[in-house]
Amino acid sequence: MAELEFPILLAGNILSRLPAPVLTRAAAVLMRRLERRHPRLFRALSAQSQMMIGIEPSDLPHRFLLRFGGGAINLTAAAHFTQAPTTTIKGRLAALLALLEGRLDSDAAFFSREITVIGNTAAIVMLRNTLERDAVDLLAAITAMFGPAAPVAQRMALTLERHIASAHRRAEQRHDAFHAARREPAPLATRCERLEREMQTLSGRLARIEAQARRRGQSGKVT
Amino acid sequence: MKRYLELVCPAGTPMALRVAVDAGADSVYCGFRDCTNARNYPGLNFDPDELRAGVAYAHARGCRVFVAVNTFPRAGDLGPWQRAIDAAADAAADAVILADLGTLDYAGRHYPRLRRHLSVQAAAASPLAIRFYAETFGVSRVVLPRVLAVAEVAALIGKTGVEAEVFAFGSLGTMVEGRCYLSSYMTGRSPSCDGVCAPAEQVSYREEGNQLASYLGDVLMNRVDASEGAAYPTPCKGRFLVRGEPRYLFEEPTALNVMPLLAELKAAGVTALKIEGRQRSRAYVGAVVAAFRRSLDALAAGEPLPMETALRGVAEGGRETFGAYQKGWR
Amino acid sequence: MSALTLGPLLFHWPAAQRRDFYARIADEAPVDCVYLGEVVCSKRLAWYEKDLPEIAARLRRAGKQVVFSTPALITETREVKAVAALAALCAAESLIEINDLAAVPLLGGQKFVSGPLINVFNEATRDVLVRLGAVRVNAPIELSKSALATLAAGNPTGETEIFAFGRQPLAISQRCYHARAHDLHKDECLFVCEHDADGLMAAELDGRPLLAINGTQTLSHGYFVLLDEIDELRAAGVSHFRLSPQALDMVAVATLYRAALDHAVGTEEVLARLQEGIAPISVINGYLHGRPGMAWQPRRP
Repeated sequence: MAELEFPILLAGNILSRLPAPVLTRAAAVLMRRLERRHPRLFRALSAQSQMMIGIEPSDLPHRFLLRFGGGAINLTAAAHFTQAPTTTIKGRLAALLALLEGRLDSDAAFFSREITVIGNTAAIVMLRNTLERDAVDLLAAITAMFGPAAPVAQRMALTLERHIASAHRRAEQRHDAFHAARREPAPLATRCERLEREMQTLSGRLARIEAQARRRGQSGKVT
Repeated sequence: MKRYLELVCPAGTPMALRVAVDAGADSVYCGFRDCTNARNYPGLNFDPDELRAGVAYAHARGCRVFVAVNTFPRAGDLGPWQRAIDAAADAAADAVILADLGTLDYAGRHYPRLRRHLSVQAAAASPLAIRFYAETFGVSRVVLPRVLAVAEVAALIGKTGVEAEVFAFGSLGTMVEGRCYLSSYMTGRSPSCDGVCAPAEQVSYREEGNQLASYLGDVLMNRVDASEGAAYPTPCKGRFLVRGEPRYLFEEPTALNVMPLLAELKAAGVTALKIEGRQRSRAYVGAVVAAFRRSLDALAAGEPLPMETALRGVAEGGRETFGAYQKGWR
Repeated sequence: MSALTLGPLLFHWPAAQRRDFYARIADEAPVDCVYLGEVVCSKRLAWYEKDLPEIAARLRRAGKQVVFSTPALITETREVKAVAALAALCAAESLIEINDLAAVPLLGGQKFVSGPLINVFNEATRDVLVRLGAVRVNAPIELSKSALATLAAGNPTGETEIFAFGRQPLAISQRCYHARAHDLHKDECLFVCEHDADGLMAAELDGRPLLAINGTQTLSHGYFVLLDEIDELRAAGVSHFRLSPQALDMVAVATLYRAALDHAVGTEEVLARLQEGIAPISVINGYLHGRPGMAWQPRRP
């Protein structure tokens, strides 16, 4: 687990060190790339009524604000939200990216608490369902930004793959934990056996005490 | 290749349809982007052109497409339902899945050659009810409500001679479907007529201390600790105070999975297995359809069924049940 | 001419209480039609089935139409047999109300009342039911005032009935939630539902009352009250107004509704007096106005 988390931390660290305005500029470039690759998706999103979603990657110091609908889409980064969005989605960066690409089942991630949604869910459901209609390939967009040989792109690719694998695994582990927590209390037979053992121990101790008392009584008689 | 049990898979989007077909679905079901089907969620479903393209994609790969027109028109507004049936017929869909008597009547009169399946929204759970729909409307298949034990399914198939499609995996409602007003009681929007249970715009989550609270309209559905799984904020999965105690009054958050019962269901004479979840992601569709395809192929070949643990990862509440298929559920 | 009906008693009352209730209804309640029988759980019927002929006879002697209601779900053999027997018995003198379409084939072509648990959301479905033999059609509780008006307006039978008073039935299940709330199984339920004459309250986690559990049925916690909408719906063709029995003075409720239908007492006063009897439980009417069913839309000043 630890070595799988390592590249994630690395990527997190890279992003963490970038100031918000730089991230916002990078996001703008990324969005333009994505728009060129997925024109239908962007048309569908900008055709909605105006919506705003706060994105809080739990392993980054940054917050993102996604605005779509009303004819435009933009993504900005900030240290804090200046106004509270009606919906906020929280989770590890990897899970959020996997959701964006449609590679992680959002409901399962929600059931397992891998992601958390706060606020009204209308915007997030609309976004999720619209994203579901298109195969967003983040890596291709990033590669196009940095050039295919760029080590940043390669590292991100690796990170993303591992992130998604571990998000899947975490979801399953969480499910296993829920299963274990919900297991029925020990069945009656087991409890009876335990009580029987306790009774045997107790009657053994009682027998010993009685024997001691008898001995004491006998010695009493003697004396 | 002879397939013993037909695998019927959900497609909320054209992309999910392709994923389902590619993962080995025998049939795919979908709906239009409006109140005429029971998964009327924002951004989901097909327009008539998307349906035509979807049908072409599926047919080219030997897969059938069923169109759910399975809600109930409100008085004075029959148009959308009639147009949905027209559009399904026009797109060369293989069947329409219907629940409303008037809609069944319309489809039978206008498109007698278009197969009519009875939706689970009609909740026909007895030989009498099924025969009623078969004789009155020429229904050729019935999707059975999730309330029957395997032995009851077998008895029912024996008595009706109508193809039976049963739920195999996914969300599990405990109320008789098509006759549950709990969500409209709290939100004003009706699962029966508007096609939406717990509509997204009425669902909200709040962090309250260390707990996550879910609301439907202004009704508190549940509060969960960090260590608990979350559930759909539908009324039948809510936690309520009854006799002074908080409890999952209707059903715990859980998903149906009949994988271990496949052989029994096959022996019971079931025609088709249905995967629930048009509102779910294509990642879910891909995982569940592939897992069932592997198992059904193994079953058909008389091989031992593969262990499919991956499905637990997509199950609601991370927990699976046989539901009513197993005795004691009631 | 508007008829006042008393719907089937949905709760499980002890047989003696049930006999007394109907005796008083026969003698004192100004209702035109009384629905009798078990809609919710066929296991309950054994407790009072033997009393039904006498109750029916007394109601008829009092000049009331008697309609026999049938279960919301007909799945088990005993339910099929019970409905078939009832159909044979009623062929001559009484109507049957169906609440599951599985009952239709058991009626052998007899005329019937389509009950409120049949999904008649629109005119096309209504017409199918009329072709099958429905002489009176109940609308589902979920419909708004305008949909109700449309449904009633073209009804060829001229008899459209709507829910006017009582806890609204919201859902039915194969599962018994009364048993579940007592950690019992449906097959060994000990008839715990008998302890809650008006249903068992289910509240939100912070304590606000929300629902009422009645065996396999779930009802609203608030009492639905239709009053101000009466004239408009009557003008549209609604002919029958249904009161659903609760553990209240139902004779008083029926008397108040009769007065409201006859314009003998203003609806504001009727509402105030109903609320006195219901308090502290709230009144609801949201569905009529296209709002959440649990909401109350006060009269526009």
